[in-house]
Amino acid sequence: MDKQIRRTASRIGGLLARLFLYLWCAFSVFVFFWMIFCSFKTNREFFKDAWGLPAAPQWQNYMRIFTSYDLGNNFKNSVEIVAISVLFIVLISAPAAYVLSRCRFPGSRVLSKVFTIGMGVPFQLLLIPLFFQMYSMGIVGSKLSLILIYIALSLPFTIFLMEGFFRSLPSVLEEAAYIDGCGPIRTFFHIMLPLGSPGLVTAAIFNFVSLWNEFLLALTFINNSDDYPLSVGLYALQGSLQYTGDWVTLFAAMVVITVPTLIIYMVLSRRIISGLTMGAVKE
Amino acid sequence: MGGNSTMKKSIRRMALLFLLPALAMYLMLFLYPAARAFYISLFDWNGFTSSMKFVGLSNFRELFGDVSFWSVAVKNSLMITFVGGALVFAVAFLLCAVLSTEIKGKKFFRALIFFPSVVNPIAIAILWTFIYNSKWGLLNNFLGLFGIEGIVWMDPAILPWSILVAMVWMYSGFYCVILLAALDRVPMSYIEAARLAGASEFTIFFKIKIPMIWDVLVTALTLWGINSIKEFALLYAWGGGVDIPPAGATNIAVKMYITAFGKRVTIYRMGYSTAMGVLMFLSVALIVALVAMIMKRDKVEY
Amino acid sequence: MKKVSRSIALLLAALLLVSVFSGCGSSGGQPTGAPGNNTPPPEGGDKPYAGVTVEWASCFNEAEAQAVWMSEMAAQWSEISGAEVKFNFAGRDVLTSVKSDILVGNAPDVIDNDGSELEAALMSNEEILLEPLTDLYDRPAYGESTPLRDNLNGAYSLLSRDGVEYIIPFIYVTSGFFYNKTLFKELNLEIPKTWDEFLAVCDAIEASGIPALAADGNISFYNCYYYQILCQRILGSGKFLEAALDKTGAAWDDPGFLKAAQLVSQLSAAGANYFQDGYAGSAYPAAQSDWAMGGAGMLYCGTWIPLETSSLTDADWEYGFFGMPAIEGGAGKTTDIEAQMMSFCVPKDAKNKEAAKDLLAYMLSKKSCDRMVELNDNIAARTDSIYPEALAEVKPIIDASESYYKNYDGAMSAAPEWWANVFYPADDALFFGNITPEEFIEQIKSESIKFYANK
Repeated sequence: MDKQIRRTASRIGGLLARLFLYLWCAFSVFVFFWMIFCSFKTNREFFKDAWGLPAAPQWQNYMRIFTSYDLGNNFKNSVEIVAISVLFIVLISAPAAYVLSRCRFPGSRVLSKVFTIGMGVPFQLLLIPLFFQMYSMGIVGSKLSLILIYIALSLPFTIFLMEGFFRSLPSVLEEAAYIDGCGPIRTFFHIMLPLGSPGLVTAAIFNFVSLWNEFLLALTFINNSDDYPLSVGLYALQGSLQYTGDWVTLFAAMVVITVPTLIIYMVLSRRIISGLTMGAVKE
Repeated sequence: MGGNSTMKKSIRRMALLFLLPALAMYLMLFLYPAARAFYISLFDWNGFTSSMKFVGLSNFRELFGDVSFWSVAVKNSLMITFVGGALVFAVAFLLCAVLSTEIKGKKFFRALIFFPSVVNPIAIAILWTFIYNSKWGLLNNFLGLFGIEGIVWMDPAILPWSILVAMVWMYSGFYCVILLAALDRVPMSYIEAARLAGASEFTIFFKIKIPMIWDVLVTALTLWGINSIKEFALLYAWGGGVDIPPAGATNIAVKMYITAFGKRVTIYRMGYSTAMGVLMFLSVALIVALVAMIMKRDKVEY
Repeated sequence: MKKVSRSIALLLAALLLVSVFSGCGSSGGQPTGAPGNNTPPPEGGDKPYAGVTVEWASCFNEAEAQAVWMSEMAAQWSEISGAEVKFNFAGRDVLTSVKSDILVGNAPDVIDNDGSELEAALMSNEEILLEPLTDLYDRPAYGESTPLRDNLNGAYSLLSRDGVEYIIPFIYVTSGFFYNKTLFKELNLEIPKTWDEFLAVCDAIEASGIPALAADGNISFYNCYYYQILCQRILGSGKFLEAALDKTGAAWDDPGFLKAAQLVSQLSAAGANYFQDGYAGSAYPAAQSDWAMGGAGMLYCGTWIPLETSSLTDADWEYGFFGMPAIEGGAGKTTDIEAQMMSFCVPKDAKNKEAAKDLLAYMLSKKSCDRMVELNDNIAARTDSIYPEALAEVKPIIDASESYYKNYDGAMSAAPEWWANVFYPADDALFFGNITPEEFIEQIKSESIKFYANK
């Protein structure tokens, strides 16, 4: 009897939890479609009736984003800044992580720890010193400064992530290569790096997604509106659209920002999810 | 023998070569500025000229007496980290409990709840101010369909809570998926055995699955601790970015930025702001230590 | 899996190549083709500034009407001068963006922003980072014969330091109540001259079924207009600034400050509640948009409001304006007018100062300013410029002015931290009706003392 009650309770609980999941997802989907509908309305339609469909789709809301505003250029900047940063992050981190995970030498453990500690430093601490540093290097305010900072700040986590990958590779391969007369550097490039490439991809995806959405550093270190990446561009766009009371175009801008992300995400969702969560699970 | 030592030598050479770029970069643009932060926090500097005035510890003295810093910024930061953390993980657990059972469309749901974490946070801030808008917003109009009169979601009194809800929507998918990925590795045999012994799904989840992914849980909590303190974009862009963010959207990170770079109100105090950064660093260290301590003790219980 | 990783790697490589060729790395702090320092215009030359590139950092965003105007005028000036103008439409955070440029000695040649913000950021007591503009003030604008100074609204002297001007305004802004004249006609309402008349107008509008006033509560610098202007009406200008800077807090004991708080409280949710429901939680520009569509009676705001709302108004809408009514027995006159000035300045370290000033002399000509008014419904800083139709009712008020005072009595820029950390929280609480006028004075006084003691 008691067992039966418990089982019913558990079943009801499971049902409620399931309902919660459905509602949660329905909400997200609903919000997304609402955003799309609003982006096709005129401002007056938006204000008059929240649920009404647009009388005629207002494509000019979308036109305006690319003609009056420079979201296209922001997009290009983001691609440029993020792609270069990610490339160098991986290029610099992979060899370092390899050495740290597979070579024993005095101080190697300490060094590995020193990199790991960086993950716990909130980068806000570095904001002003870096500002000062970029100033003394004479590049403050440029895309280059942002790229350098992105690379440096991404090192701790990327190295940590890749160390795990390299550590999991069997050492038999290395030894076999050495016996065949392959030097350690060649061994790395010809054998270990290809084997570790899933780790590289994971790290690249992780950094790509987080830098793509990065805002604070871009806001601080990019001076010229021609150089704004997407997040700062959207922030500026939000400002100017509000000054002109143009709400629907803001919806269009959000659609333009989210839809490419959504498409890429749909294609690569498994990889992106594993890329973003790998660091936590792998330890 | 001789071959071995040349091998060792060349491995050493490789180690140096491979470590150098990362180390140089890390030293120059991470460790040095981090150390420099402590130094800058001892100065008065407006950032427009290169002249900095040494003021000793007075930035810190001022910071400790700064009422608005503690009663607004620190309070909100703590609220986000602890209350927000509790909510995020509660939702993450709930979603995760459902998704770790055999449910139709599991992959689809997983992808859907994760999606907010790849969307630009500025877009999320704009979106939620539209959702909350009392007159034209999604929420109140939706409630209106059922004849329910909505409330003012962005009223200063409840604004921090409304923002928390947006944050929970934004982040719980991420943490849920982390936990899910770990749960997928729990060997089925344990679960089958428990099922045969008549344990409910609820019991299985909390008594078997969770303890088995304890390490991942600790990592996830640590990650939340670090990330939640750093939270900036969503709050800074909240409500349009015309004025300084309202009190409800001001945490330590936002306060720090405004103190250093001004925003309509012309405060330009780089040194003072860095002192806040130092405090922030210390609080992250504290939170990480706290998570480690609490979770360690709990682990012994199991 | 391999395929994906390879294609990603390929993509990254391609992107890198593209970016290298588009010269991303070189966009650093290097000035673009600036010639020798401050070359005066060569005599008799056809195009005196040929080869010069004037760099301009603006507080407007690219698509805003002011930015459109600037670009248009700069293009015209380029034709004449032979120089190029390169804009950086950085938006309202422009000072953050130019800060590092100034620091590295790569200052833009022109910065535009709110005059008080420019003053607070670039004219500190220790060092003035701006070029004196006396010669610009004293020369005639393009195609004119009288000195520019004579054609500008006299409020510019509020921004000078020791009699020297470093900042020159182009848009003049003052604040007051905006309303729909058609609505006032329908309800048979007159412009209120006294506080009681104002309250009567509010009641009449409320009786017609809409809230009398609209406010976007998340903009603190809009909320504080009420208290700020009432302080001016009651105490006269300058008193609020004194109190803001008073380390002892004693200045707040002046009964005038309490009186102003009481009047604000009368309007707020703690009093007659004339504002729209939930105004404390209204996020800009919700309430002002709603007001422009007839959702509320009046809106207290700066004279930029027609520009921000005209796309939303009905066909029969007509903008009306009146200033904050006089308060009986108050020391502040209604002919003492609030002045906020969107202004230009030239950094001391700019590379093309002369060219920059010449460009400004073009921008500030009557012809150019008229064009600005046409494009963006604002009031030009030039007194002889045309007025936008929507602001016709502001003209007589400004024309009748006897003196000017800085927006927010200059306190926002003189005591920015106090303003953000002490005044805003107290004023918002008062304006939302969360505290009584007495509590407001008590809070602002004790918090001010604490604030200054902690410095």
